[in-house]
Amino acid sequence: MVNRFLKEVILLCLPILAGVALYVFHYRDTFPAPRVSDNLSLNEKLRFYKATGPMPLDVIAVGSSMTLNNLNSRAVLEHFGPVRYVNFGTWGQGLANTRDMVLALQARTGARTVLVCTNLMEFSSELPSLPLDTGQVTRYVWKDAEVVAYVRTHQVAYYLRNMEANVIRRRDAANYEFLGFDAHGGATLDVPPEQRAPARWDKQPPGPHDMVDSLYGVAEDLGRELAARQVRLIWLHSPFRHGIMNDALRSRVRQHTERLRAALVPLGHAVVDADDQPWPDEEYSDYSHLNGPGAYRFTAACLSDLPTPGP
Amino acid sequence: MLFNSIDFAIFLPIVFVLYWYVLPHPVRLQNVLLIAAGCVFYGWWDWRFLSLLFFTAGVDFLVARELMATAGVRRRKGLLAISLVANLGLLGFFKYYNFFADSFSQGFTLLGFHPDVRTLNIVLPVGISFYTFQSLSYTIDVYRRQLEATRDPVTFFAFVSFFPQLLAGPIERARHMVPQFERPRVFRIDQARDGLRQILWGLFKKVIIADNCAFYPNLVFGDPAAYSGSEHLVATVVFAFQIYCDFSGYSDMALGLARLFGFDLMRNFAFPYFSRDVAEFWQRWHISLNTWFRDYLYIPLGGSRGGKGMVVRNTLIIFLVSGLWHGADWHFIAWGLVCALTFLPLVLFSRRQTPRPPLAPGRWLPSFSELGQILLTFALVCMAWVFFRATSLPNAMITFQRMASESLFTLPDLVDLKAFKITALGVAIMLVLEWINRERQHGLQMDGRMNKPLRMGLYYGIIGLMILFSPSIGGDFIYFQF
Repeated sequence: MVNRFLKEVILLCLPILAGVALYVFHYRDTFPAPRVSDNLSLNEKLRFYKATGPMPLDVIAVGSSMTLNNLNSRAVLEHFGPVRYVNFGTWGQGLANTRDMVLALQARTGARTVLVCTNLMEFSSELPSLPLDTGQVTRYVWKDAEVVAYVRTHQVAYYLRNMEANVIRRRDAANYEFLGFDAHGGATLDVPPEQRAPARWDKQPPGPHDMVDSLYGVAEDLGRELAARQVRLIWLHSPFRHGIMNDALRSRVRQHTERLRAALVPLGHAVVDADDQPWPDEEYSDYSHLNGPGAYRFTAACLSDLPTPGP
Repeated sequence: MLFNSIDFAIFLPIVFVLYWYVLPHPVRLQNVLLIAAGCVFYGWWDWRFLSLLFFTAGVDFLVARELMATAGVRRRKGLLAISLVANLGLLGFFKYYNFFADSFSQGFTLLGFHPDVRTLNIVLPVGISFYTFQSLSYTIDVYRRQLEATRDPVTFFAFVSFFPQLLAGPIERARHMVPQFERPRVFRIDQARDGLRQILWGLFKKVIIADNCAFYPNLVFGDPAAYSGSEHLVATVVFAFQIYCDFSGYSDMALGLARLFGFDLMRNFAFPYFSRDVAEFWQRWHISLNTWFRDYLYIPLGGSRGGKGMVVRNTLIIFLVSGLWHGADWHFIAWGLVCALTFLPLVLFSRRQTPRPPLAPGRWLPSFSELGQILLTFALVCMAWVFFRATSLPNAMITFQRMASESLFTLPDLVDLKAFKITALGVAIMLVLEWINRERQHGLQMDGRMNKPLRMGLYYGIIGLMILFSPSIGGDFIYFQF
């Protein structure tokens, strides 16, 4: 009786397992990275680094999509020379997560220079931080085998659901979730005008009431901790596209960068922007994410403004 | 360990194979295996709290044995008191100490005194309310001479630590379960097949409905002042389905699992949202707890033997205690009170038949009158759920204020339309299948209603929905916190 029952159960499960196996096989190249955090792009970035990244590192970039998309790897290397550099930027990363990730990654990689690229969004309630266990992140990157990480993070639905979506994320630079990393982890968007999402293109920056005062404290904490480690922090402010700028916004941005400077420069760090240059709409994918040429020009302009070069 | 986890998907086949193949007899060895399985299952969360489980079980086992050997009334009462103090003392300390300390302090502060009452950083052992009540039922039954105490500690410990219902019930009666642990078990394939169906049905309710429902009530009840009346209304209705699918889903899985091992657990839910009045709802909702309170509290208090005053008093006590059982907070007590207030008029003034006649007998759909009764009952139950789900009593009042304002007539912002569509699809499937099977044990009992290919299509469809639409977060069962 028990044999018969088990046989029935196995027969019942076989088509399901076969279907799942076929699906997984079909999308094997875009199987999601182990779910060590709730941020898919961070997971993908960590796997990228685990597979390809050098150790130790000289320069790391950490932050949200401003860091991922708007920091151009070529421009960074042209400025710093032949350094070991990895961009750990991920979309959807709040500032508290950025602080935690910078501290965890710097301690592990030994990087002496840290780049963080933001705009007003990171200092507003529109980009909250997610629960993030940096211990799990470092364990995955530097300790666990890939298989072990999958066993630890066994959420079948998550993997199955993202396999197909990852095809577009990996290959299509016109997709706002593009995760086709260059050799250093950067991902340059290239959204042609006809494919721009109107909601993203016309989106307005967070208003004064959306700003969260305590997040400036988070930036200062980070600056203080890195200064104690004798690590240089270079904070880049990314501009909004020309079409949405007005005097009020310009003034708010100026106040924002001045506040950051007041917090970080006395600690020996640098806060740079490229607001003295025009940022025409053609160089953008949406209201704040730059296309490839724009990202290069922005990164080069910011880094050329640095008071002292090099790590 | 959660039923809806990979850990459990590995654990279950191992225990099943060991149980039926490696240790098919004698029954004592199977019971030892069940105790070991219970320890792994419970210890997966925190092994240190296994000591509490075995302490409770140990006290009750020894007390029951002494009760069997004792004839003197005073000594028997003393023995029962030991069991009550040990069980309820532990429960009181772990679950209610902070609540009573806080309330005591606040009460005296209002009177102008400032007592120095410290709260403790206590972790609530998962399932403590369930296994305490279950173990207590054993000593009370032995005390009442309704059950002979078992001489075999293995039998008793296997009963208390039986993993399918250890964490969230059903709260079994010793006189129903202990004999099942004493006799050899026979594998019955029909039972096992239906058990598997019931597990699948419970998983569907949990994963597709309850987990997808969770985000909206979490948002709205987490910050009630920020949401409109219509959003509160939607969140309340969504929560009604969330809690039903979460808890009845767990119970379905527990019943199905027990059947795989040759046990028959008591039914815990009987399609409560098809109830035609609040009294019927309480006969169909969390049956094991409600009958526990009836047998061990309501009847000893005098039940309904002393006239209407006694009925009112005892009903109020039962519901208030039930509220407190669910959580150490005033909003749970308020929930109990509201439940009592909606229940009492029926008991005092209604001349309805008890038990109620079958719903829509021989018909596909309910009559308009039945539908009206069902919807009214659902509305009353939802009103009570507001107190249950709110994070505090003042927040519950904010919800009612919002629902009584003009903002009730604004369009709600559903935030995540996809999750709502999945939830709506899941709820629709659930209501249809449970309605079709309303005279049966669970929503997937389709034998005789569908031919085999259709049945298989239904099972695969449900599994497919679970693979595609289970949310990436969620998982914990609401009733674990009780």
